[in-house]
Parts: sequence; C-alpha cells; structure tokens
Amino acid sequence: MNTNFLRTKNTNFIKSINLLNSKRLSNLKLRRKTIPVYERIIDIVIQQAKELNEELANKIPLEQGADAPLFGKDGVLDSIALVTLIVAVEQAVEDEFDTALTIADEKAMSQKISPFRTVGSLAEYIQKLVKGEI
Amino acid sequence: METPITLITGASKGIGKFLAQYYLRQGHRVIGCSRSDTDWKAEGYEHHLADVSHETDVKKLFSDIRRKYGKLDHLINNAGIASMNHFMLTPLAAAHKIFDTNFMGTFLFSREAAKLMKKQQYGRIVNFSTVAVPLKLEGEAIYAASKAAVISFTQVIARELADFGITVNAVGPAPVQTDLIAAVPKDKIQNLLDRQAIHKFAEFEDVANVIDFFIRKESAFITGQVLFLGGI
Repeated sequence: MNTNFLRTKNTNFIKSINLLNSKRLSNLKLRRKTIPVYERIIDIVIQQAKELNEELANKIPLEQGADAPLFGKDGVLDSIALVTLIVAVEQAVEDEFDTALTIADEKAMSQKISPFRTVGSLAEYIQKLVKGEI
Repeated sequence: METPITLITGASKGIGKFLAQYYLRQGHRVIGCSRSDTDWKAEGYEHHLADVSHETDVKKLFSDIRRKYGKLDHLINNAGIASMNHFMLTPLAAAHKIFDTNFMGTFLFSREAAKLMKKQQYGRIVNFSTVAVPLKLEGEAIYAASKAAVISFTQVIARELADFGITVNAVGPAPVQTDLIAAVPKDKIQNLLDRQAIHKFAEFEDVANVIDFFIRKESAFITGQVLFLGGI
C-alpha cells in the first residue's frame, strides 16, 4: 500500500494544528495585552503566591486579594519565602512582558514604605518598573 | 542522562576557553560569554557577548538561558582581570575596573544563577580566587583584595544557598601562563612560584581537576570551600 499519501496528509494535518495553535496563542497574547498592566501583574503575583502557599505552613491569606499581607509587620513570609516569591514573580513578569527586570533593586530597598508589604503593593511596584516610571 | 548545562564566564580565551572546550568534550551543553567574540566555534557551544559587570547584559543572558533551557546546572565564574602596580600608583578607575569584573561580575552571575538553580533545587557554582590572596602578593593589592572579596562572598552565599541544593566553592589557581600574567615581571612570578610547595606554573588541567571535583553530583556535601593550587 502506498503510505506516502497518508504521510503527507498527516504532515499537513499536524501543520494545520500547529498553525491553529500559534494563532490561538497570538490571539491569547493579543487579548492579554488589552488587559491593564496592573491586572496582569496582580494575576501573576497571586498565581505565584498560590504556588508558594502549597509549600508554606503559615499561608498567605489570598482571600484578602490585593490586601493580602506578604512581608513585614503583618506579613506571613519569612525572608527565605519572600526570596522564593520574588524570584518566581520576577521570572513570570519577565516572560509575560518579554523584558528583563530586577524587583529587589536599590529603589525597592530604599522606599520609605516597603513594596513587599502586600500583594497589591508588590504589584504596584512592579507595574512602575515595567512602565519605566522608577 | 540529561545534558548538563554549564555557563562559563570569560570563555573567549585563556582558562575560560580551555574549560569551555573541556566541558564540551565531557558532553555538557556549554554557554560562554565575554566582552569580545570568540575565535572558535563548536557544536554544543553558544557564545554571548556580555560585560560581566553590566547588570542588563547579565539579566538578558540569564533570561535567554531560562527560556531556552529552563535550567542551569553549573556556573563557572572565570572572568577576571589583573593589574600589577604599586597601590600608591594605582588610579581609582583601575581599582573600580578590577572590582567590577572580579567581584561584581561574580556577584551578578551568582545571583542570577541561584535564581535558576533554586527552581531545580540543584546547582554548582565555582568562583575564582587566587594564590595572591594567601601569599599577600606585593604589587597586586587591588587584584588580591578583589579576589579576597570573592572568597568571603563564596563562603557567605554557600550558607545562604545550602538549603536550595546549591553548592558554592572557589578555586585559587597558582599562576597559569595566560594573558593575565603576561605583563608581570619574570622575577616577580618566580618569587611567587618559589613560595609554593610545588615550584611550578599551574596547568589548565590542574584548574579543571578542581572544578571537576566541585561540580560532581557526589560533592553535594562540599560547600564554602576554597582550594588553592600549588601547596599554599
């Protein structure tokens, strides 16, 4: 039996699936671009905090949304957990915005009010970094 | 076995070039970087142009590694510069330059590597010090100080990274015949060799041997150590 026909058909099928997937992906990216930057960042912070919570005994109360405390007076994270969260968020933000950034830079460390207090304050600080406002 | 990913700084010449080719032969995927392009190419090797003390260059390099490979197994912080001079005649700009490359470069690469290695709870970082530190070599005050800083840094971050399965050690080569010592007067080098237990130059292979030991999977219990060559 001549299987070349089937092979060609199969290859074309895979090509069309790949094309469809790449179109879906670019549509998804386009759609995401219409979401405000802050929303995209806070989504990332919450997602990464959720993943971190799986390893934590003392969990971040994410039901409080943007007000969920992270680090400092009311925070639940110790310094190692904060490092873990910051690194994970940094990498996810780099991927989302196709950029390179350092969250724990000297500006963050010299802020009068730490940007690492809550989910919301962290997202706001990253938004400024991404937009080049600081 | 998964191909190990090894990043070597200062890979365009000298020990860095040797190590890049050596680990390629061991079956590693080797990523090298330097300020200038290389005069060599090899399958399994990719070269990036980067100034090790330039944060943006370093972030971009690691971003590329993360996207392409998703992991890093070994970092060899080889890039280094030296300047032989009496300290009273050393310009501030020269001191900055030496510290930027030798210390800041090691710091930046270690920081970004640790972020990647932490994810996989495994990693080996090898830093470069020198026998000029314990031998307190006259004429190399700034160079030795920058390499002493590398030792302190190695020992402290070894503790900070221990819980993530990352080891950090340093090799302290005796003089190796490379560009780094080309400008150093012969009698000074001979004085230095005379103070070693084994009075001869180190070979590239001697340095590779120490790195091999540090990066072995079995060396998981070896961290914060500095191994000097030549019997210091």
